[in-house]
Amino acid sequence: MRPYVEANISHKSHTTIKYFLKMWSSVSETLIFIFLGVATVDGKHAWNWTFVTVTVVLCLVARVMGVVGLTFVINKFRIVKLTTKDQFIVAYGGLRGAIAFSLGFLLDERHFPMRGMFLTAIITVIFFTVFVQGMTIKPLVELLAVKKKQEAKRSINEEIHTQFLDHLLTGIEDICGHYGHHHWKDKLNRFNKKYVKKCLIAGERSKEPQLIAFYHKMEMKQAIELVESGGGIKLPSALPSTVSMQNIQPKKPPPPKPVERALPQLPKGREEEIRKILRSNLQRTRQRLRSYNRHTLVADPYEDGLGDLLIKKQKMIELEKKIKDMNNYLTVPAAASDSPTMRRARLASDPQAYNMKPQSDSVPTIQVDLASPQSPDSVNLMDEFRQAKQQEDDEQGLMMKPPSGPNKPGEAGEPREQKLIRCLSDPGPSADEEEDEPFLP
Amino acid sequence: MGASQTHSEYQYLADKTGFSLEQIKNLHKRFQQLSGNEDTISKENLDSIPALANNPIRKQIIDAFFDKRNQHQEEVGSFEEIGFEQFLMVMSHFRPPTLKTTEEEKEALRKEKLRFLFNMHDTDNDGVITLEEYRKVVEELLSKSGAIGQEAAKAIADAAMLEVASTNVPHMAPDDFYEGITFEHFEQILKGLEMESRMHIRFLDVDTTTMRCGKSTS
Repeated sequence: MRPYVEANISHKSHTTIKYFLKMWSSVSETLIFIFLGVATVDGKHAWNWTFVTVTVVLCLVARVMGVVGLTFVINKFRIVKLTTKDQFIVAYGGLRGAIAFSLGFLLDERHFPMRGMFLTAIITVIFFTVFVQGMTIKPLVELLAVKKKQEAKRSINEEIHTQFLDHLLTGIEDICGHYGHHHWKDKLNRFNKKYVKKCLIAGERSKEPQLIAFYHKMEMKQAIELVESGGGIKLPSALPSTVSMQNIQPKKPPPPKPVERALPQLPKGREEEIRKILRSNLQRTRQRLRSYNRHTLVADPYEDGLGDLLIKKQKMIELEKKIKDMNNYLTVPAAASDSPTMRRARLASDPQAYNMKPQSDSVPTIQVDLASPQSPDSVNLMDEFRQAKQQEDDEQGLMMKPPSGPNKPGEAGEPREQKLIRCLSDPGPSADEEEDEPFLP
Repeated sequence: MGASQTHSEYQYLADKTGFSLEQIKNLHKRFQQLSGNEDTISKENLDSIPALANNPIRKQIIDAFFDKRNQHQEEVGSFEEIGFEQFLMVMSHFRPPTLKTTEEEKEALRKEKLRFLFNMHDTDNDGVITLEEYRKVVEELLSKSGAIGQEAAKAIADAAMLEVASTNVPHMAPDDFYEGITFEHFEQILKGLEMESRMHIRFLDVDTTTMRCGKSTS
C-alpha cells in the first residue's frame, strides 16, 4: 500500500508520518527491553542447568535446520542460488527477543507452576543470542566477505535501463510463448496502472509513469541538496565535473536569441512544492548565518524585520527562475570553490570580511539585499548556475549599484540588475555609511 | 522430428549456442508455430503475436532479431527473414549463468548481453549512441504511458546523457562536444546492474503445453 499512500500525500506529510511512526516504534521497543531488564534483575528465578542448556542448544539447532531445509527447497527455483555462506549468516542472525519473553511472562502461575524456570531459560536464550551472536555477527560478515545489499541510490540511467530490460524480457518471453515471471509481472503492472491506481491515487498523479515520477523525485532531491549546501560549500554530486548541457547538445549555429532549453512539464503542484521547499530552506540558511553573526559582529543597524521581508520577496521572484535553471543542471557543473562570503560569515573571525575582492565568476555568493526599500529585484543567489551559461557576467555581480538603477542593457541575457549588496550584517567601515557606496576600493 | 538427422543438427546448434537439446527442441516447436511450419520467419510473423502489442518497445525487439550484428559474425545490416539458427543465436543472449561459470565466463557473458543492448540502442551502427538515439529510446519507453509530451522525454534523455558524460569524462571544456555513448561508457554506467544475472529467461521451463500459437486471436 505504500506507493499509493506516498503518491497521495505531500512531501511534508510523508516526512511527518515517517518519523512519527519511527518514534513510536523506538519507544515501544525501549519500553519492552526496560521491562526485560527489570525482570532479569528482580524476577523470581529458578535456575536449572539442564533445562537452560538444552533450550539454548536446541534453539540454535532448530534455527539451522529451518534455514537449511527451506533454502534447499527454494534453491530449486532460483537461478542465483543461496550459497552455504549466505545460509550460515542467515542462521547466525537469528536473534531472539521480546516476543518470547512476553509470551512466557503471560503464563499463568496457577496452571504453569514451572513458570519461573521458563522465564529464566527464556532470558538466558535472549541474552545469549543478543549479546553473543549480535555482537559477533558484524565482524563475521566482514570476515567472510559476504555480499551486502547495495545502496539503493539509482542513477537515472540505471532506472531507464531497468525499465527497458523489463520490457525487453517480457517481449522475449512473449515471443517464446511461455508465461514466465516477466509476463505475469507485466500483466500485474498493467492491471495496477489501469484500475488500481486510478481508484487509489487522487488527481493527475495516477497517470504518471514511473520514469517521470522517478525523475521528479530526483530533481527535488537535488534541489534540496543544492539549497542546503548553502550555495556551493559542498557539491551534491559525487564528481565535480565541468560537463554541462552545452557539451552534449549537438552543435547548432548560434541562434539569434537565447536557446530555449526544453523543460519537463512539471505539473503545477510539484513546482509549488519545490518552490516551497527551496524557500523554507533558504530562510533557514539565512537564519543560521544570522545567529553566527549576531554575537560576534557589530550589529548592523539595518538588520531588522524589514530586511527579512525584502529578502523573502526577492527570493520568491528569483526562485521561479532558479527552478527553471535547476532543471537544466542536474549535476552541478562548476566545481565551486568555497564562497568567501559564506566562509567568512561562518568563521566570523576574518577581519577582512568586508572586502569583496573582484573574483572570478566561479565564486558562488549569497548576496542579501539589506539596502533600500525600493529595490525590487534581483538577489543573485547562486552564481554557479550562471557561469556555464553566461560567462560575461563578471564584475557586474560584484559591484554595488545604486538601488534604483535601471536595467542595464549590457548584461547578457539577464533582464534584471545584479546587485551586490553587503553581506548580511556587514557593517562596513562605519555603521552609518550609505549603502550605496561601493565598498570596493 | 525424431530423425537422427535432426538430432545431429540439434547437436550442432547446441554446441554453437550453448542450449541443451531439450531446450532446442522446445524452441524449435515454437519456431514452427510462429512461422506456420515454414523454414524462416519474417517480421510480420513476429508482429502478429498478440501479447507483444502492449509492449512499448516491440519494434526494437523485433528489429533486434533481424539485426545481423547479433549473429556475432561481424556483418552489419539486417535480414529480411531469419532461419532457426539465427533465431537461436539471438535467444542465446538470454541464457543465465550457471553455478559452474567462472568469473571470466561471467564477464564475457555480461559483455555479450551489454553488446546486445547497445546494438538495440545504436540504430545507425556508428558505434556510439548519440543524443538523438537516446532520446528516441526514452520516448519509446514512455510512449505507452499516455500523453507525456515530447519535452519530458527529451529532458529525461538529456539528463541521462549528462550523467553519462559526467561520469565518464568528468572534465570537459565548455566547448568540447560529447559525441555519444561508446560501448565502454555504456558498460561503465550499467556496471551496477549485474546484467549477467538479470538479463535472462528460464528456457528450461519452456513448456509446449503453455505455448499459444502466435496467430490465434486470443
